[in-house]
Amino acid sequence: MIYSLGFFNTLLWISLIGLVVVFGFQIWYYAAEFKNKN
Amino acid sequence: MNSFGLSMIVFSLLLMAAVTYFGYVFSKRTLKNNDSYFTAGRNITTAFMTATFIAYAVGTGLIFSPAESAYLDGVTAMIGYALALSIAYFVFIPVARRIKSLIPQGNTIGEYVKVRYGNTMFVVVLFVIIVYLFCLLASNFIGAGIAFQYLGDIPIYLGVLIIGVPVIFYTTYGGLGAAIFTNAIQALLLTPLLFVTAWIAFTNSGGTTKIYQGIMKNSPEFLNVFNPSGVKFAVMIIIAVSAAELLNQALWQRVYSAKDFRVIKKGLINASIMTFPMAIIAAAFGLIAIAMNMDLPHPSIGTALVAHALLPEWASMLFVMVIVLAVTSTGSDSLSAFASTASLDIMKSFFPNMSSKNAVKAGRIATIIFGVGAMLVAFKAPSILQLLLLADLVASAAVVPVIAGLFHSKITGGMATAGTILGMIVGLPLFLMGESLYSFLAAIIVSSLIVFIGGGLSKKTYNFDRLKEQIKNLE
Repeated sequence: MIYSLGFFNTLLWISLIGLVVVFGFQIWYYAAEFKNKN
Repeated sequence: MNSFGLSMIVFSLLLMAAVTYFGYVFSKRTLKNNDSYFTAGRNITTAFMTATFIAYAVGTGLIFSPAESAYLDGVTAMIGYALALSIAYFVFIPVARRIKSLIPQGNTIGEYVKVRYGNTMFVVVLFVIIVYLFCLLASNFIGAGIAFQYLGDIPIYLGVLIIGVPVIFYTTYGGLGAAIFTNAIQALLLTPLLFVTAWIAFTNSGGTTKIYQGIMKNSPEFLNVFNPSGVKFAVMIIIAVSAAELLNQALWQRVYSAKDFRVIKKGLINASIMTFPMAIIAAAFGLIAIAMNMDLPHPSIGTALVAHALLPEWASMLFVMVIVLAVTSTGSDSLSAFASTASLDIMKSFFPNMSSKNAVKAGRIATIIFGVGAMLVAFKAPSILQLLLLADLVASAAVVPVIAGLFHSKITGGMATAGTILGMIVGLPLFLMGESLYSFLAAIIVSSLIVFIGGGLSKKTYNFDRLKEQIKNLE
């Protein structure tokens, strides 16, 4: 069984978009922490 | 040295100076007592816990090794590597809960093993921890060294020194607090930098479809889901990384440093999900190397060389910064983990009445010695993946005896020691013969059989309350 082109493209692009989501979550966590501190 | 190499040195020095400065200033503000040198005040919150777990994972073990495995064994190996990093954090959650409830005032794995199993197992586990942390640190320095060598035509030793000296400096001064705070900066910078460089690399290589077609043309077996070498590698790396992380002083140290178990749980779940796309993207550089039919001069350099070949100079420099951040984050984590092991386990065994001030001093001296030793090994630049796998094998033999001791009251020190040593004796020859998967399986199965059969037959019962009574914080 071979990885299909569709699966391959989806995996790479979702992972790439995942990096943006990861960054967004990090900012959100820091903002929440900063808010709690104040 | 070429002009890119000169720019690499300048930008890396600037970045390292900034990270070192922030690490130093933060440590100065937060080093409230000697205990906080090893546990960061036991007050770390979710944002920092998530960041430190991400930054710890994103070392050469994520930037270089997944690409190396993708280049050598294909897509299944790549997915296996990304899963391994995620699964390891998930598996650690119940163990972290048990550590936090049984040993709330703890500092190291060693002190737990000493109280639970006695001195012989303590010595064996110390050996395992030191070998693991040393391989981890050396492999990160190697990552920096080979990136400088192959991209900038800079001697390996210079690259290692540029990264190694500042990391040793701020970790020696600030301990775990400095490592966690700089991890937060590193994690925040790593994701956007990796995104930008990967985006450009995908675009300049003709897109993901072109990459797929290139692999199909040059190595079609690497697109086979059940490619034997890929499946074997995937299974092996999931076992190896999970075993190693369960027995990793850097992770145990973070459990002790957390405000409460909820923080650890959230941090581990977040990092587990977040490291998956990062590993896939880093590994994709290895696939691009196959698609472009690149012949790599060093098995670990795929990521950096592909980035350098595909990216414009400014973006390639951004990728160098990704490498620098990745290497420094995991490097400082392994150094601070070693500081606590060296001081609170080794030195305290010789000088049980050592003051907390002297414990910090011993930790600082140990950090410098350990860091310099790892730099000397890094000058020789062996394969990063092989070095990490050797470290993982040693951990695999000890992981079941050590972790089972947190849950199973019938296991004794003799059984744990015998299981660990026999696991290593059986696993090591297989590893040297190139049978990595079987070496990990053999080490884990042999050690598990000994401790669980022994535990089933044992009449002794360990009182877990002794852990709380005997393991106290440094102050």
